Amino acid sequence: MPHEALNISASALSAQRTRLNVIAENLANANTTKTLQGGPYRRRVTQLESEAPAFASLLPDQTGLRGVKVTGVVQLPETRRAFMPGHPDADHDGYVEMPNINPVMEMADMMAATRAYEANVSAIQAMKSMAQKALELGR
Amino acid sequence: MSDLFGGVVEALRQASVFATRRHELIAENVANAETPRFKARDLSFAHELDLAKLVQSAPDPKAPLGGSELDLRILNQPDGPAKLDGNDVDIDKQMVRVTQNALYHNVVVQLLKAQFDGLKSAINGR
Repeated sequence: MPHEALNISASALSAQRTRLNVIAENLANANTTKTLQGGPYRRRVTQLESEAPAFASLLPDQTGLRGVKVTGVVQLPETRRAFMPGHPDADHDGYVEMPNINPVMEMADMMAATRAYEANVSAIQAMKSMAQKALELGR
Repeated sequence: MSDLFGGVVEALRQASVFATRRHELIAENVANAETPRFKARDLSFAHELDLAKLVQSAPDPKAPLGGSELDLRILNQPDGPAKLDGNDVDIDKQMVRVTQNALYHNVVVQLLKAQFDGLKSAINGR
């Protein structure tokens, strides 16, 4: 059924959007040295996983299709020490605990997420045009 | 199965079901293009070969072309060696398949429409 394909693509759109949000958070906090939990901001990574097929799709005549979902946003523990003696958060030796974020890597990840999003939009458009063509049969 | 909608119309109906089902599987591959350990799958039309044989050996116009039941098989179809995370989806190949499959579906629907148009003009007598 067409709606099944649309649901699968929609699950991916939502997952990729979450991924983009997390990347935006990383980029925005690339230089944040203070957080509520204490210490600098820590880089976050989105975890993707195939959705378990719903109960109905476990029946033999179904294909058991799997969408994708975000299982968690993991905080990585690493930080980076930067020598900034003038910084208010500097320790005795003049080092500041900075987030371990490489903006170039985040940008590359962002592009990958955008492309994945676009690919799923194309899949939805293809499904839509197929359904529309089939509807034209009634005319 | 009546003769009116048997034969070609039935075969085309099965083909359009096949295209829709296949799109679901390709959409699944595209959705999971970055999911660790996900393996790409595709749909195969087990009748395709039988159909060709049937047309060649028995040119009986009344024999149903596609058989009565759709025999669709899901198979693992890796796009190449798996990446480091165990995922073997190649998004470019999948996008080509999305387009191919949509075009195939259009062709099938177009042929169905031609069949129905023929019937319609026979009914109307003009």
